[in-house]
Amino acid sequence: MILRKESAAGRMGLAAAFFLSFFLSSCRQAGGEAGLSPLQMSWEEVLQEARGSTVHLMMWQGDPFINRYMNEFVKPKLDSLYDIRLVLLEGQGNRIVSQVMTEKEAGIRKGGIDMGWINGETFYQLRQIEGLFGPFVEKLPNSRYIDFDNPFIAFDFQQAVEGYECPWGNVQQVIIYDSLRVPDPPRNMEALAAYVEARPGTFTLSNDFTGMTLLKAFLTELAGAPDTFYGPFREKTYLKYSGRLWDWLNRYKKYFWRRGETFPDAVAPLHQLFINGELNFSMSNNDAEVDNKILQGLFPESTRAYVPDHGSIQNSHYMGIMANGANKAGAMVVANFLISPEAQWRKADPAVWGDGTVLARKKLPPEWQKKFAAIPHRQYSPGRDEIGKKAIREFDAEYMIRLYEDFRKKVIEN
Amino acid sequence: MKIRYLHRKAGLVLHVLLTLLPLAAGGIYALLYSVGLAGSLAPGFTLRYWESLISRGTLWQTFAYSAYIMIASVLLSYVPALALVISGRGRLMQQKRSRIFYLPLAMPALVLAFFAFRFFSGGGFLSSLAFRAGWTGSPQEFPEMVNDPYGLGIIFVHFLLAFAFFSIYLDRVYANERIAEQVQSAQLLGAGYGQSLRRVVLPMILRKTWPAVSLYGLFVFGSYEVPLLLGRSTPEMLSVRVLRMLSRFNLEDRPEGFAIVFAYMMLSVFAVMLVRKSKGGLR
Repeated sequence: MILRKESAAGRMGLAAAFFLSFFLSSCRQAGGEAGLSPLQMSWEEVLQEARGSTVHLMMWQGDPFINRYMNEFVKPKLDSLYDIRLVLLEGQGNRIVSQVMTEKEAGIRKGGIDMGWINGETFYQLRQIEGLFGPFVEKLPNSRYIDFDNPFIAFDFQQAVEGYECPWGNVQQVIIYDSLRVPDPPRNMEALAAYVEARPGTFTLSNDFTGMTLLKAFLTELAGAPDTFYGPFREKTYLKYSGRLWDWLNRYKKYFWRRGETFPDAVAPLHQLFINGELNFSMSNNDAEVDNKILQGLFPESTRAYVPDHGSIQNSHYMGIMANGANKAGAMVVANFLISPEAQWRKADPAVWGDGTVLARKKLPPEWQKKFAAIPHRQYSPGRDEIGKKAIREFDAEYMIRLYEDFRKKVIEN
Repeated sequence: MKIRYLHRKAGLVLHVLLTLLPLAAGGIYALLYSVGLAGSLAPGFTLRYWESLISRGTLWQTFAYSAYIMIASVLLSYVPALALVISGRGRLMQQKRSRIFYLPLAMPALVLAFFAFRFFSGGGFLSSLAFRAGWTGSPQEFPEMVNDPYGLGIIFVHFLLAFAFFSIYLDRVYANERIAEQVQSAQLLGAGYGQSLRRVVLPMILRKTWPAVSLYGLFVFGSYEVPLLLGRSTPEMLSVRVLRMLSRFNLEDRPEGFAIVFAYMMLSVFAVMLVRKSKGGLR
């Protein structure tokens, strides 16, 4: 059957407009009335409210160690201690922001995500759209152990956390290399330039959060001091040092993988290229990655990690509760459990995950201090104390926006 | 009779409700977003996102690159499939070995893309063979066959998928349209092989298959997983670029992403209308 075009098109347009407005308005009604906020309840009431409920946590699930920790430790514990069923949803930063934004735009008051594993990038975006619930962190009994004196934990992308996200873990960027192929890895940009000139095609960076984080470390080396980029965004400072950075990259990118005409779009393909021998280097924002990947049998045992002399960004990752989450009380109980000494201690073990704790050891009860002190050391990566000496704080979020934009315009498309 | 009529009407209404309306609603939403009238950070009516997009040469580069991949993939798979079907005289799928054509169609595009990556990348299977044979000294010396400037890897995967599809489809058309009999009649009337090919076989097959080929081309134009894995940072194919813009750190980029979505939808509608208007269109 052939559809008659003109009239059908007109009817279709009208119907579509009607459908859209009906869809949006019906979604608006779907939320229902909100009850008493858990922020106004006592902790006992929050526990009571959460009992028997289901919490939907959206998080990245690309690492078998992390998945095992969540599925085999966190879930059963939440079930036995609080009668909470934790459902893990696959997705990270942009997926969380997209879903919350879409639900918000459609007026959905009870969204599909209760809480999410977020970092500075996502925190910045969710705060922009008022997508986060809070301030809730002070309400959590275990928050008394959190090391809020540590600026790497209390500030996220130079923004005060202000109780809108609960610190969960702390990591630092490392460069990964195979010690058999690279006996003496480059310690600064000059050495890196000499290395890629001598061995073209063996180095690149990912065009994502991790790659941009490396560029921040490069900016620090070019500026000579990390605090040049601390505080609010300064256009003049950015233009001065980023100009030098683009010059440097454009001068040497012809020695990068694929002559710097293309860059892997994420860390996973970067690791893949490292594993299959195309690249001599990879990188990770998780300083325990090398130990994890060797234990998983993905990296060769000769793989090592290091932090160059210019230092590397250290940052924390957090748990955020969504402003339109359906089960805020349940999410608060989950967040409180995740920052308990037991959950943090287990997570810090390199054989479990190796994630840095956000708790201040001196605030912990003595038996937990001993347990944390007895966590086995890493075999293949430098210790946290050692790399912590070269830690750089995250810059203001505006630097990240500009680095993404300009890396594409001035390097990739140049 | 009346029941059949009602069934047909109900089917049409369902089709409109379940497929066309959501699509149209999506298109309107994308348009509103792109002019600042929808979205959490909507500034109010503005054309600045469209202006910024149009002024950037990379948008046209994206469309041109997607069109190049589409044309190359469709041509490189359609022409050999056509040759194969003509030489088999429409009996290709009657043979036992024809099952092999169904195999690539059962594979998700992402799996084939990953296979191509493992096979053709610098650290892949072919590169290892080349290294062992002493033809290359390192993975970096192996020729670029994926993530390459000409989209060879992307075209190869689309070829794997489309060649099988076109072979099966053209063979069916050849049989259903009784082209073998038509050729026989033409030759009985004195036409040579070349003449019957030019005057009978090709016009009949091309006219009959043009709509499906065009729609397949549109599918390739908007494909995502294959160019994501095997493409380059620039130029990007359309869907890769849209997804990147919609998921970028800077939320101000989202309206531009929606503008591309809307432009792509309009292009698709235009292409479908063009196909319908042509002879042998979708009926």
